[in-house]
Amino acid sequence: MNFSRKIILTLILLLLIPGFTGLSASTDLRSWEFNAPEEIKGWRGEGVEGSRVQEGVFQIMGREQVQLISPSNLDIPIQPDPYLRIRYLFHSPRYLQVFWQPRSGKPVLLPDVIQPLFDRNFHTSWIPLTDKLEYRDTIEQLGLIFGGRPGWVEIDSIEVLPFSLGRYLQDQWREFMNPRRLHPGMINSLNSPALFDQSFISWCNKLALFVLVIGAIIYFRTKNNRIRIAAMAGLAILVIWMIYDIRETYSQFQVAEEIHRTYIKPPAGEKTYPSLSDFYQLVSLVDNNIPSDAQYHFYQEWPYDCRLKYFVYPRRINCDASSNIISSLPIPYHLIYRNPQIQYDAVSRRLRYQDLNTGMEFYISNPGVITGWIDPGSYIFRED
Amino acid sequence: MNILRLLIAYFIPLLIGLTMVSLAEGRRNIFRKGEKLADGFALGLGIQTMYIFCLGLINIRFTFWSCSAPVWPAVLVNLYWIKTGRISLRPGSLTILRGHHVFGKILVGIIILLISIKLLLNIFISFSSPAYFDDSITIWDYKAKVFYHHRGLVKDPEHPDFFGGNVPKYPNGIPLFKTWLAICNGQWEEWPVNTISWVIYLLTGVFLYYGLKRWHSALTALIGAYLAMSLPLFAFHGAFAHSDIIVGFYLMGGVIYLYRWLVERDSGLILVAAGFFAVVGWIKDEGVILFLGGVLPTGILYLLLHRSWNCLKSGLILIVTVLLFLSPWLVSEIVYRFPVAVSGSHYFKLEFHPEAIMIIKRFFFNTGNYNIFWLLYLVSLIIVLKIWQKVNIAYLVLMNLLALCTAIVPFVFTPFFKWLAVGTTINRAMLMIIPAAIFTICRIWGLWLQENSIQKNNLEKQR
Repeated sequence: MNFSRKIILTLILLLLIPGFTGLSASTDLRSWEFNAPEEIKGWRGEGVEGSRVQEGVFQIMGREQVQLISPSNLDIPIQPDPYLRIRYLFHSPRYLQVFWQPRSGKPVLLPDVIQPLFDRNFHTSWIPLTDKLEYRDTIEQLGLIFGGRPGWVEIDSIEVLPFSLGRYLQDQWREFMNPRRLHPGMINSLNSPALFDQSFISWCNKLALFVLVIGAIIYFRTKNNRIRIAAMAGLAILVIWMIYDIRETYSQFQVAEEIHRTYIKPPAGEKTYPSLSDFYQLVSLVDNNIPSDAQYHFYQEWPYDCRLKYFVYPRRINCDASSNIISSLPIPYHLIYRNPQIQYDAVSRRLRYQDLNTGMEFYISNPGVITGWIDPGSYIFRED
Repeated sequence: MNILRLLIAYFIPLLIGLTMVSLAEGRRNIFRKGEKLADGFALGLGIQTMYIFCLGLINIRFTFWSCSAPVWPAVLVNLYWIKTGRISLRPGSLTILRGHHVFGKILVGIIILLISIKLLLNIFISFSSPAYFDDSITIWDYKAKVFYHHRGLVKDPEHPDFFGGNVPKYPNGIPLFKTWLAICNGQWEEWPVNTISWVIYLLTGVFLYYGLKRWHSALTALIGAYLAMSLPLFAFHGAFAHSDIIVGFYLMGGVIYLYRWLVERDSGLILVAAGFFAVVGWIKDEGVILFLGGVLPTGILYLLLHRSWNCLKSGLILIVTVLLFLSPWLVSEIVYRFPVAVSGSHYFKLEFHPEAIMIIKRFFFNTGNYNIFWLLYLVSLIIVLKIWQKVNIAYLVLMNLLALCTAIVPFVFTPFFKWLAVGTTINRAMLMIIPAAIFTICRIWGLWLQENSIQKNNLEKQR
């Protein structure tokens, strides 16, 4: 049997291993699915500004560092070498670190710092709770540290369970196939899918390096067939490139599919756009309700201000971050888009601004009327 | 109807450019037919937009007839050439699938399939999606919309639409081409004006194919085209209206033809190379910087080592063509006192940021922007040490390395580091370098395989 056939056979066997070993569901030692608000009973947090359970997800609005501590007396035995399996989504760049309280002694802070891709997808991490011998004790309480930038953290489920190769591989596959979600920062850099806690591209780079090193060794040892070895190494590199490219093409397809599903397919009033929500409905509203030579105030910043300025040009925008007003002309229109600080006061028929920090309120317009709206929080106000 | 208008909008710069390329070529037949068409469009885009810019400077309104005026002499010249038999309308032959074994045919099939899927996805997104990303909305499409609205240039510095409104200092090649597309379309719509992104994406592949086919097999050339078109961030940009891949395309075109000139010394090639380098400065300021940092020093080194009147003449042609083409824009920059660079003067000081190296390493090897390109690039630089004396490959590599350093050095040695730290510009900057780098890599591997083949034949002869 030649070398390449051996490699193929080994790969096939490796792929079949999960089928023979633990594809069957493992028994959870403890789990929280957050299907009902009662399930967060006993959990307490530090650095938490607000929390709720919604659609089976535990949502926490947190500051730079959030600590979430489980109910006590979990009494999880150590013998089966338990893992923490957590499925979560960060809405700001964050990391996760875990600690637990044994029956006796100090809390144990696990060394693993998990930093998932910041890609608006749920991620699943498996964290071994008892890697070292000195950890041999009962787990009485679990703690999760979410560090990084302030923002929402969503937890779909937390499980403490013995390692299950089948479920682990399923989770890794799901991680690998996570969709790429379009957002305005994506033009600068693309994430590589994750596989076994590393980026897929780092695996490809390692594999390519391995091929090149092996190729170089064989190349310098042989005198006769160098052209064939060089060509084979080149071909192997091309195959690795193609493998990554096929996964990448699938990501590209997912972006196109998301645009089709949210923007092209729905009828006019229901169109949304990835990361911009119903912004284009606002654009249509302006097109239909503000004359093309008019000027308007806008009370939102990035990513909306620069986009509105472009899409409704030649109408002229006036806002803190972006402005192209012609100074001698009046600015009779006010465009309110998802800004709870600005309210229409029906008594005075004026727009009222409330400073959320100081609580101060003041009027920002002359009397006028609402001339068009998408919803109660998004409308056009025209001064008399 | 809209499609027909769009085809006319693309055909006119194509014909203008094709005429210029044919003039540079003379009767020497130095370009293949497909290559010449791609050259024609690329150069035509630059020539026509600079012409439209000049119309704006002298207050002539942008209309279909005023903007398309240069095409009429080109039509007459081409009709004359057809009549005299200097050019023929017969299509060129396609050799991609010919002459391979079964394995080669399968590989060609897979590559064409992958490229087609990517291209179709890009066309779909471009046709169905409005401009989305920041630079397209705040600069490229915005300026184009302003030019279209005024059907001209606003030259009053107090007006909010002065030279396109946002960032007046930015070159206007791409915005004016989008304006031209909107003029042909009869109204401002997103889908026609953004077609240029995937057209350039496609042309990058076409150029690489023809550039490599000159020296290598069709399969090698196709692999080169595939590497560029499947580079993740490059392919992603092909769907959205940013200009970085357009700079990458023009820089690559210039590098390919300059390298060909180094090998073949045909004056037509230096003219076409100069055309590409000139247009790249009309797309983005970075184009001029990469030309000055990467191409010019290599050219000077070559002239110093090959002191002859012909080389000096070609060098002068290159510089003069670039300067001549860009002169209306450069004069405008002086007259209207645009700053030399977009960035403030506080960026221009030396300071070393050692942490930049790890950040760059992470972007190059651990993010999904480049596939395994950087590893391949590093290995190719090792291979080139073995063949550096062959067919002037050292100059090609030097051009590439200097351009790469020009792009990276500001992030490591100046306060520009802050843009590296947040990761907003480094990867886009690399898109300007990578197409030419892929040409270089393919050329190195191709030469190396040829070298091995020669050695093998020699060994067999000795036996």
